[in-house]
Amino acid sequence: MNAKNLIKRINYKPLITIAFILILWQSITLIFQFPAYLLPSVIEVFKDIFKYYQVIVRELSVTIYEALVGYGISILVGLPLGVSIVYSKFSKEYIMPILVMTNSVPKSALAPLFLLWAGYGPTSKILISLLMAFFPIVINTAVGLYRIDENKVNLVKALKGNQYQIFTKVRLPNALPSIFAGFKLAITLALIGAVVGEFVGASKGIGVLILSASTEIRTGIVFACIIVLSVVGVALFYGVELAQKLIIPWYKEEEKT
Amino acid sequence: MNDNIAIKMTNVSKTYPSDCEDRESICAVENITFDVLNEEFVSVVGPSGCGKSTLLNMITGLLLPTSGEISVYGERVKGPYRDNGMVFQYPVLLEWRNIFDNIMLPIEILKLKKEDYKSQADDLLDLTNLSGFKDRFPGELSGGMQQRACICRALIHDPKLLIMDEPFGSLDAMTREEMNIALLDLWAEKKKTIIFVTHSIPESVFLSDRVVVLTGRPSKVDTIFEIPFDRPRNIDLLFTEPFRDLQAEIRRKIGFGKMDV
Repeated sequence: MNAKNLIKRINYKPLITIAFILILWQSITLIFQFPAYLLPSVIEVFKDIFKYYQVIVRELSVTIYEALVGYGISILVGLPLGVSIVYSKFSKEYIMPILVMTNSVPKSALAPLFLLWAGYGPTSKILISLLMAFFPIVINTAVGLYRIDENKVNLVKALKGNQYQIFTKVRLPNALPSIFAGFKLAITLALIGAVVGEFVGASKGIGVLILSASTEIRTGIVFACIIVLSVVGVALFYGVELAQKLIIPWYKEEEKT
Repeated sequence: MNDNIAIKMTNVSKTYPSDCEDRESICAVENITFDVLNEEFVSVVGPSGCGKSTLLNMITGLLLPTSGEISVYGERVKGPYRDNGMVFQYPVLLEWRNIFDNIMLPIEILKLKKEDYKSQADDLLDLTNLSGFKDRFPGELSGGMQQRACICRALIHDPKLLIMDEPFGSLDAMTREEMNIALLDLWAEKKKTIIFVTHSIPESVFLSDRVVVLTGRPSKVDTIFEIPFDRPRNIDLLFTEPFRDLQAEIRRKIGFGKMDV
């Protein structure tokens, strides 16, 4: 199952739905003649995308950089921590419950705090991304390693297999679907974190552009930013999904009946 | 000692302090004493409960008895050991490996040379009619085929003892019959000692040299039946009178439709 095969098999039907939505949007703006500052037409928005393309890409690059660095660190720290939760009683009893509890706390609410601590630059955004991406990665890794058919482990134990063999041959491959689910959740959250951080206080980034365009009531640019940001968000998500299909091609999301 | 004895169990008991799998009360096995001879096929039957699986887990060494002793080929069982292969109640295969790699798992765990066992693997696949499926993944196989692959895996490292815990229970009646015949053919070919737990009395009589009947919890050895029928056995045996009589006798020992205690 190589990358070329996968790309060929992409389902293009959702794009038809999107096209339909755009046509609907355009029709609504034509029919109701909303003022451009409330709801610009599709054509206006795409005009703005082309007109301000360089600015949008420049600011978006900053945001993507912040999100990816936060994401990368969250994986480097989160994966080993997830593993330790399964193998260390201390981690399992003292750390995991706290993670599960605070998972529901909206971490974006901490953004002003990070601004205070880490300043106006990219560091504070990286920290917010990191914080948001961190949780699904640790929790999904721990759960994936933990949740296993005991008999698969018994197979190895019954032959006097050691813990290393159990981990590499059974627990880890078994956990990969859950770990990738964590990766996919995390990439989305990392991008959100970066944008929210920029909303709270920044000089560069797509969030800054969105805010400043909206204060100037240039709604076309706001929409333009949102659309390009969304496309990037979807692309990043499917990038992780592609990695999943390459690394664990055996995993089928649907249950066979 | 007598090296014709494969498994020697002496006063084996197991008591769990509180919970046992899905049962709330204490499940126990009490004072089990019997032998399984080398190359013998012995079935263990009895009412539903933890006892039979517990016994098998003690024979593999995954569990230790609370009291009493189990020896396998003269060696006391103190923990897992390599000279056995186990088949569980449902197919336990690793979804991320193809059938061939699944079968080779014990070779990897035992750190043996894979090349030395390739022909053994092909041989087992052939005997279980799975040769065409070695590159397929478990999800692509039926339940019966998956369980056959598990049997191959249990035998790949050529253990002297095969331990089977209701291996055909999750299959439909026809597949089950096929598997019984296939297992007997395999056993005739490979000459292993087999200890086989089942709920099905006809299955136990059809397959075995002897049938051990356990009581309900706490499980004790009630009776051991000698199965007199000649080998090779075929399906027609099931409809003969001696077979049906023996079956009925065993059923009486367990108790007609009596629920487990």
